[in-house]
Parts: sequence; C-alpha cells; structure tokens
Amino acid sequence: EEEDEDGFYNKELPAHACKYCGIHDPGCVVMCNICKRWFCNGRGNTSGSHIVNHLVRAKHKEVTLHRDGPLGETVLECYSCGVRNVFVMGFIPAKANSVVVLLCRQPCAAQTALRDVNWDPEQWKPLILDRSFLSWLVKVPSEQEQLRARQISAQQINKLEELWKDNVDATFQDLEKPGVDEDPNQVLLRYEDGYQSANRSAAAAVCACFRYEDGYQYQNIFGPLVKLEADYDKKLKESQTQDNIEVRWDQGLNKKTIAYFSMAKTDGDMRLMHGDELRIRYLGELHKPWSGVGHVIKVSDNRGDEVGIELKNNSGIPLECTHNFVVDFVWKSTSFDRMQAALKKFAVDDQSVSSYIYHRLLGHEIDEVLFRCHLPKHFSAPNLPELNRSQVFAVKSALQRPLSLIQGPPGTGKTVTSATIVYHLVKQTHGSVLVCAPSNIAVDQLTEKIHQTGLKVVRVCAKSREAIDSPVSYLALHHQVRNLPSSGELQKLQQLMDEAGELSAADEKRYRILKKTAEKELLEAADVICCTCVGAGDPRLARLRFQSILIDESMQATEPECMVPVVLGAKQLILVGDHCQLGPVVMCKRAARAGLSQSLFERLVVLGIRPFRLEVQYRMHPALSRFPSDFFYEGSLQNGVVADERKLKTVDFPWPQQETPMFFFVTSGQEEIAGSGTSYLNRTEAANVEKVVTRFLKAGLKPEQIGVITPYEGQRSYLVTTMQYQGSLHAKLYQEVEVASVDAFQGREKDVIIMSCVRSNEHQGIGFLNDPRRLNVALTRARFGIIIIGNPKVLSKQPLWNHLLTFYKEQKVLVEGTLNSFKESMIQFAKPRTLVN
Amino acid sequence: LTDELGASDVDAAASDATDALAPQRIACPEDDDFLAALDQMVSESIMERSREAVKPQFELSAPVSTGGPVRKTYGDLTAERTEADRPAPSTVTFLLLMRRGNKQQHRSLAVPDDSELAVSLRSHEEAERQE
Ligand SMILES: [Zn+2]
Ligand SMILES: [Zn+2]
Ligand SMILES: [Zn+2]
Repeated sequence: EEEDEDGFYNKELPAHACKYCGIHDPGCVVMCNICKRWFCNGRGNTSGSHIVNHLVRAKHKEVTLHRDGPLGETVLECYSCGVRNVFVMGFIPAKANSVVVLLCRQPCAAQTALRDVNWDPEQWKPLILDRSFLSWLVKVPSEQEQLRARQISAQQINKLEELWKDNVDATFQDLEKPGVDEDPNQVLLRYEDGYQSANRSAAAAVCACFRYEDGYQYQNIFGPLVKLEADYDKKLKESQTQDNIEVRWDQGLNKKTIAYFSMAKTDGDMRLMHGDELRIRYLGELHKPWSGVGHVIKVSDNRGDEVGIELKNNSGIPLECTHNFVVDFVWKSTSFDRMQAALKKFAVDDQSVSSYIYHRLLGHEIDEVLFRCHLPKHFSAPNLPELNRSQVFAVKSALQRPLSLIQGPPGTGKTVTSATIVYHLVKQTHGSVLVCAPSNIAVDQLTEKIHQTGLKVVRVCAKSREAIDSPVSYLALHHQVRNLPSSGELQKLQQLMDEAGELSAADEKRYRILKKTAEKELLEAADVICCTCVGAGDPRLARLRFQSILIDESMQATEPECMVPVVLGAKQLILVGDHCQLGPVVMCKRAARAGLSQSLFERLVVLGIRPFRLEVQYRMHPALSRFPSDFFYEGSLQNGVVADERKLKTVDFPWPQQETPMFFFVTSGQEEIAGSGTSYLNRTEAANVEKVVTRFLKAGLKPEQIGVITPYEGQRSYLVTTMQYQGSLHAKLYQEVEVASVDAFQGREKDVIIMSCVRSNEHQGIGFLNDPRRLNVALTRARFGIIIIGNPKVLSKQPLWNHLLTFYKEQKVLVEGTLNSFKESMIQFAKPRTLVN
Repeated sequence: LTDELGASDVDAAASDATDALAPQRIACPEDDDFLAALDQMVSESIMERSREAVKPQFELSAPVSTGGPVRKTYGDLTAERTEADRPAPSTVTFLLLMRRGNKQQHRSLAVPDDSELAVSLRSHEEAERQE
C-alpha cells in the first residue's frame, strides 16, 4: 500500500497537478494567474481548499480554469467590468430561469439596472464560499482521491510558500532538507493571563521557561527572534514597490522639497509610519532618470489618503514632472541592530546593569534589597495633581527599590505617577534620569508632564522625525540646540542653512562640530532625557550612563526593545505598564509564538515580582468601570469619579437605563459578505453605528468626543463612508469622528465609545475579539458612555463575551429595536465553550 | 442548551466512526493564520473596490429565455454518467453567461440539486406554478 501512495506523487505528474497535494483531475484544479501554479479545490487537513490557501498566502487573486474542465479554459472575471479579483466576485442568478452570471459585488452586482431585467442581485453568492471555490464551478476532489494524494499540513504549506519566495522552483521535497524546519528556541510555553490569576500555583510549574542561566543564554534566545522579526520586516517592506505614482511637489519651511502622492493600499500588514524612509524614482521620458530618498512626514488618515515625504536632498529633482514615478520602501535595520547590540552588551559588559538587576531580569533567586534613601515628606510633585493613596504607595516603593513594576489600569493616573517618580529620582540622586516608552506618543505625553514639574527635560527624537511636529517640539534636542544662547556661530550657520537649504563643505563641517558640542552640552545638563526605547540606542546617548531608568507603557515593548535603555547602566529600573492591556506588536508570527510578543513586564510578573497597582480610576462613569474592574483587576479598581461627574447633562440620548450610560445593541444583521465564510463588514451594524452617532451629534455632542471602535479594516472604511453618505448631517461632521481599531485607541480616551463587533462566522469563532486584553482596552476607553453593537448569539459562545453579555443583561441594558423604542432583548445565549488550557 | 451540546457531541462521535478515513482539519497556528489572512484579503479587496471608481463597462442583457431548464446538454450528460457510477446527487443544468472579447456566450454548467442556486430556482418555479 505504501508503495501505491508513493507512486501517486512520485511518478511524473502533469503540469496541472496541485502543487501541494498532487491531485490532477482537470475538473478539480485551478491555475493561479500570477505564478502559473496549479492547485486543487480540496481542503486536505486544512480549513481552506488548496487553491484558496495558496491565493491567500501568496496574496495572489486571479485564476484560470483548466481547458479540460466543464467550462474549458476560462479566466474568471466579472462579466461587466472585467475585474479578476476572485475575492470580490460571485454569481447572481436570473429570476425565472436557470441562467447565472459572474459579477463583482461592487459595483456591477449592485447596479440598479439589474433589477429591471430580471436578474436577482439579492441572490448574489460569492465565488469563494466557506473557504473553497463553489464546488459546481471547480469540483472538490473526492475523499478517496484526497486520501490517496499527498497529505500536506498547514505548516508545510506555509513553508512551501515561504520557499517559493526565494526559489520559484522549490518543491515539496525541498521541505525535508535540513535548515528549513528549524524553529527558534521557545521562550515560553504558556503563561498566566491576568484574568486567570486566581490559580497562581499553576504558574510555578512553567517558571523555568522564564529564567535564563546567564546573559549569553538570554542573548542566544532573543537574538534569533529579533533576527526573524527583522527579516520578516525587511521582506515585507521591500516588496512594497508601487509604480505609476502621481506626485504633487511642495516646499517646507526649511526649504526642503516635499513630495505628496497617493499610494494604493496593498497589504494590511504594512502600515506606513512617520519617519519611515521611502525612495522615489523617475524613470525618464520628460526628464533624465532620477531618484531621491525622503522621510515620511504625513501618512494617510481619515481626511486624506495622501502621503508626504520630505526629501533629504534638493538637487536634481524633476519638479516639472508629475506623472510616472515609482516609490519603494527603504528598509532600515537600525532599530533591530540596536536591540541586538543591547542583548550583546547585557551578556558581555558587566557595567551595563547592576548585578542585582542582572540577576533579577534573568529570573534568578536573589534577596530583595531596599535603598537607604531619604523619602520626601510630601510626595506630590510641583504643578502636578495631588496623589492618591495607591499612587503615593507606588511612588514610595519605586524610590526605595532597585527594580519595581507599577501597574496602571486604565485611567488611574499612570503618567502623573511616573512623572512624580521621575521628579523625586532627580531630587534624590542628583543624576540624570532616562525616561522611555515604546511609542513616540507615550514619550511625548510623559515629557510634557515631567516638564511641568520644572525639571530640565530634553526630548531626543530620531533624526528622521525632526520634521514632525509634536506638542513637545520645543523640548526636542534639535530645537533646543537652535535656541542655545551660548553659540552665536552655530546659530549663524543654522540661519544660513535655513535660507539656502544647504551649506558649503567647509561650513558644513564646522556646523556639525558645533552642533555636536551643543548637543553634548545640553544632554549633560539635563535632569531628564526622554526618548523611545529604540531611541535610547541613539549614538548621541552612547557615552551617557543612567543609573535610574523609567520605562512607561512597558507592556507594549518587546523584551529586546526594553533592553536598549536598560543596558545604559541601570541600577534602578522602574517598569510602568499594565499586562492586562495589549502587548507589543510583532509582525512575524513565528517570532511572536516563540516568545517575542511577551513583554519584560509580563515575564517579571510571572516570575513573581508583584506589581504595585494604581487602584483609583478617574476616567469612566462608575457603571462603565465595574465589569473591567471585576473581570480584569479582581475587583480592585475603585472609582475616583462619581456618576454625576460623568453625566452628559445637556445631551438628550435615549439610554435604556438613564442611570447606566451603556448598552448592548442587539443587531443580528444578515451576514452579507460571506465571501469566504467570514464576515468582514456588517452593513446592519454600520447602519446602527451611523444612527447612534447621528443621534449624539444632534443632541449636541462634538464629533471629537465620539470614538468608534471596530476590529476589521473593511468595516472601518465602510463605516467612514456609510456615515458620510448616509448620515443626515453634514459629511464634515462625520469626518471628525474617529473610527479605528482597538489598538489605535490604547492609551487614549473618548467621551463616548461605540463599538461595532462585526461578528464572525460559526466555524471561526470571533477572532480578534476573544483576546481578553483587547476587550479590556476596548471597554475602558469611554468616559461617559459606551454602546456595543453586535450579535450576542455568536459572541456568547466565547466565555469572556458570555460573561460580558450576562452582565449587560443583568443590568437590563441588553436591548433590541430602534433608538426610539428600545426593548430588553430576550435572546438566548449560546453555551460558552470551556476555556482551553 | 445542555441538550444542544450533548447532541452535537453525539454527532461528532458518529461521524468519527464512519468517516474515520476522511481528511479532517488539523488545527494549528499556521491554519489560524490562514483564516485571519483570508479575512484580511477579502476585506481589503472589498475596500479597494469601493475606493476605485470602477464603472460597469458591459451592459448586462436580459437573461436568455430558455423556457425552463435546458435538456440534453453536456451537463446533463455528465450528470447521467456519474449517476451510473455512484449515487451522486443529481444535478440541474444552468447556463453561465460569459463574454469572450465582446461576444456573449453561454456555457452549460451542472449544478447540484441541493445547491442554493438550484433550490431557489426550484422554489421559484413552484411558486409560479401555484399562482
Ligand atoms: Zn500564485
Ligand atoms: Zn491539492
Ligand atoms: Zn464588475
């Protein structure tokens, strides 16, 4: 029998055999137009058919049917507009007879003319249904055939697709070659989630995976993970070339040329950020070929899709040309290099951190120590709010300890507490303190607060971000250098450069020397230096040493990222964060799974270092904080605001319970986009979001007060358009309403939050929504009121959501109907699946 | 609700016994990644369409009048042949409207009897008959 199996796929297979499993019945296979490979419409042991697996993983979208199949050689395309993207196509039948036609959903299947000529657009059915092609268009190989074929796993499919990126001729056999299958060392097996912390003893058994023998072992585990992520990032960015770009030229205040253009949104993984580097090229025709590099200073947002880059060099730009440009991403290894350097320094340089911190970070048993220090009599810092009890406790503890974790649940005054700690550290040690956070926004917020206390603060920005405005621009190093009164010569040269755009070679050299000296002077005189974690690896800081380091939002940094500031001499380290909120973003799934997506904060919590928790929240109406408090913080969150302070007094809104400004709006809209067996866009929910938003706006709420949270990019952009085109108010108003993912709202707040869940289908669960940390963040952004729009039937299968829905039901705020006539919903919840451990 | 769960457990057990050999989904992170990526692919494709200002280019004419399902076509023949081999679900023949260049063409297409397309056509015909 075994021979038989071998025979099946080792004998010469025809060219149209499925590249995964070898099946080659012409009626069962489809060719990918992009890479010309054939795949079958069977699922094997994966959840999508082989062809769909390939299209999705390779991001290819067009196919051709086999010439010997029932339809003959046919490129699948929309009958009317000719689009070939199989993910937007489907069939509509005639009303009265057995004729069907292949049309794209938008705009062709939606034409009103169709209704008049006896087509039935309501019956539109996607070409890809339940993650395979419609079986009457492309046959599904029989079970027998599938069993006889090669059994390829999802892992192998994944690897094969990866191999094809480097070698188009790779085959299944290449998978068995050594080197392909190495997985990075696993950093962790499982860890205890904040919300599961009831059972602490369970953690003890897995602690071993959180400890490292020494810095070398630590580097040996994290180094490869950083490399994996770097390679992934590089591949992703470098594959993003776009051509046919139309450019609009402009000039910035600093005389530098700015190019504005629109780019097609390609891969959702790829988000352009301020400071990213792009290369823009002109291939010649009206001007000789040219290429220039610049930094992104504007990204596409709610108001416009234009991207702006400031070019580094003004010479030779074909300003008279506007068409036919090509844009590439320029990948930079800087941040990854800095992480690798930090890991190495931690391993080899015993001056990089104190020995206490060294051992604690590696998870070694070591006696706790307290610094002997003079604690201040009064804990609040100048110009900052008075601290509450738990904040005072956190400040006091942090000042006395070489390593402390401060957990700041939403709205508990994390930034003020951090700024206060920094103030006292400076007063106590008379040295300078390094303050970091993973994101620029978080750094800016903290910089501002620390500045208020009267300390001398310098904000160090990456050179690529100097052109980007921020609320603390005046504290930025490059700004302060310009205004340094002591160096007249530097200012003169600066002025010259601002006017002319550049300097002579000799002047330039002189300018650099003067600037460097000025920077050094400023940095040495500073009480506090603020930068991002990766920014702490800036060469300008290389010679400085910091005994005291505070990292805010540290749960959002990967561990190697956190190490960049830490190895600058840490003797006293304060990590501020909340492991019950979202963790770091790691793009490479393999690296994420191997442990890169776990933050240092989280690991230290698992190792048994108890965080000091800030316990009074000042953001949410007490009704809104109850569920998060009970569910994510063991009921420990107290309210620093009373209901009356969080009442929208002049806003007339039909809350089902006037005292409880929240409700779950039961919306069981038809799953309209069934394109692949999932819903990505829910028109009924979108319509309800629009109604709620309009009602708030009419009642006098300002658009900036409202935030709309939704998981899928498809729903996000659909919501933006729905509101603008279907809302009864001026489109401009809706434009000011922020619609974004949960992740984009972390660390921020809005007065009113509306959340559209965009339910998923039965097979798949509810995807992203079942991450407890993400739900926690979503539920804790609103100050005055929250409205959740979704389908309880589907959501209730998930234990976490089941709890939430039950809570809403108990509060009598699970409602259905319309805004003008809500009634309590009697919908039955599904029995939740048990938590899998 | 407990009953509901019990019932599906029984189903699962039954299908385990009969289809022990049928290929079954093996859950793994790579497969979950695929599901998520598919999600994204569809939503982005849709979004892309709504951004581009595409216009339908070819007028879609009224459906061909076939006067009921066409008989004796390729599809019918195939359907008959397979029925002889194994008790496959019988099929209904549909006409697929296609375009080769600017020319309109029809191709017959065998659609299983129990597919949504066939079911809705049948119920439509029945409704008409009753009128
Ligand atoms: Zn392909
Ligand atoms: Zn296959
Ligand atoms: Zn079309």
